[in-house]
Amino acid sequence: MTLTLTLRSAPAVRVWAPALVPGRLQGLGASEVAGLRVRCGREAVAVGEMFEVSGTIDVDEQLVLCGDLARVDGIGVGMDSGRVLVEGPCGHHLGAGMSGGEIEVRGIAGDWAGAEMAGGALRISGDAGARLGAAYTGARVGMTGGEIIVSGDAGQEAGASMRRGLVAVGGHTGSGAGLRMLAGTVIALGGIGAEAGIGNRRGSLVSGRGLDPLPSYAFAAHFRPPALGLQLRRVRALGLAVDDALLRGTWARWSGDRTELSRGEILIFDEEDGR
Amino acid sequence: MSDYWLGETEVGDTFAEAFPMRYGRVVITAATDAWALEAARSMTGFATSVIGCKCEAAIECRLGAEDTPDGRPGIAVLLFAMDREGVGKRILERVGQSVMTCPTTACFDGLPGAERTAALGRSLRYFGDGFQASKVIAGNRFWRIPVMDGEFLVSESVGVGRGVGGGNLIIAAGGDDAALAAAQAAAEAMRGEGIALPFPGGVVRSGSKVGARTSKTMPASTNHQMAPTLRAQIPDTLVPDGVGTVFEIVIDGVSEDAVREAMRRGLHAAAGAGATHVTAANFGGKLGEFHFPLSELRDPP
Repeated sequence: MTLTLTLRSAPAVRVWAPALVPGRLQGLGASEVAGLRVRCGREAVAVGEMFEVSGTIDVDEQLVLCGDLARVDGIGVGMDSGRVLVEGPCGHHLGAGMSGGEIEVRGIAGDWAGAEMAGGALRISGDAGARLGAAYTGARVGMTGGEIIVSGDAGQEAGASMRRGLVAVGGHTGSGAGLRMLAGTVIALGGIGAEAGIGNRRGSLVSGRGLDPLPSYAFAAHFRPPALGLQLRRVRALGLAVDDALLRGTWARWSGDRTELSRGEILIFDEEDGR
Repeated sequence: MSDYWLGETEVGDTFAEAFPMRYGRVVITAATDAWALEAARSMTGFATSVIGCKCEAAIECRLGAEDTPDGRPGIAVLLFAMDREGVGKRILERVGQSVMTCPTTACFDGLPGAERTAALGRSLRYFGDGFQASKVIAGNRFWRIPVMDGEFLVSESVGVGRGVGGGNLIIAAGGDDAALAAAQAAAEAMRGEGIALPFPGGVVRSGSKVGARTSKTMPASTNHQMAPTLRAQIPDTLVPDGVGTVFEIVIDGVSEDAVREAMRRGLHAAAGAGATHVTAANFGGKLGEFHFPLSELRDPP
């Protein structure tokens, strides 16, 4: 059985809806779900007032959200199991702090998607906003596990302060990707944006297009990184189109950030004719 | 059950006796099939008998690029020892000395999801002298050890499974050419998934017995009862009339079924390739918990 919530109309103000995770909705009937409250602007509003509710959800079943959810924030926050499918755009903080389960968005996602995520999988078919998989302001550690796959582009500071896990973007990332990154991997098949890896300690930034690293990075060598080969295959298995050229080609390794440990890296694909 | 015949081959009324062992499986990949094979051959060298080499190891099979974790050609290697610690130590030594040293290689756990594991990259990483780094990919940790051609990538640990060691066939014929052809045919037929033939080419000419007539300290000595040149010299020869050469094939496998079916393939291949006699070695059934009666292998594979 699937629990389906269909938005009646796009809300005029932002909605904060952390209750919309499978674990909190399991075992509830449609009327009970409709009676739950979400924050709509400064008011608490019944789910049933905003959504048409049908079906139920049990363990390992799916929650489907339909409609223009661009102003609905906090979907899947803290989720630890189950599956959420969002048919349409969604708001900020998608899957923030999630530790398990899977969220798929067939549309764009707002800022802070997967922020401080610890596990599970997040797939976004469109673009993602700023601070993808990042730490919240004031926090030292962002994403600590799991996988985020974005088919489109990602905004500024993707992977900021991330400690572990994988962020893979089919398009390009905005500026400042990997800001104060502790470890983990950010892959942008369409290219990492400018000013990447400031304060990066042990993280890996992977750019499928040319990039001028910051002066605090130093060129090391051209080589075929075996671990990256595994990661790109994993990314392909998760649904991103990875060109075979990326798998067979060489990559330039730049080490940095030298203002930190200098144990991080930026890997830049050597265009096959341009090495 | 008495002896039976497979065509012109007399099959002995006996059984092979085998023992529980532990095993690990690693997948070695490299830029080319040839380099993967070099590493695998090096890793499985001097690993014929657990008595003298502390482990038994062999190439299990070649893997196409589509069957390896990193999409490069690979070789699967099986290594057997008496316990999990032994498997872990021997794999660590051999991957460190024979695989990491070989150009372009990477080394992966071939038993993902096994209940018991032994450290591999977790220990080998220290060769990186502080410059090593790890990546967790799809829930599995890998270590990146910087080396002179780039990086050696190795799984954090390898799975350790319960296997069977010491399955065997003894293949005899009138002359050395015929016996060797039959033994080679048997070895070729027996190789496959889950099977390791740890001796050179899979064939043993120096079959052994437990202990020695002339020493109390030697763990093993020549199987004099199966040596054709001693036939007239000893009262208890087991060499049949007309037999001039005897070979043994020792089989380690990942399960009792794997060993049994390998023996079945080998028995019928040897018979088809000119063996006059096929029998098996045992210790009276008192030492090994796995018994493989040749009478149960009569039906072809």
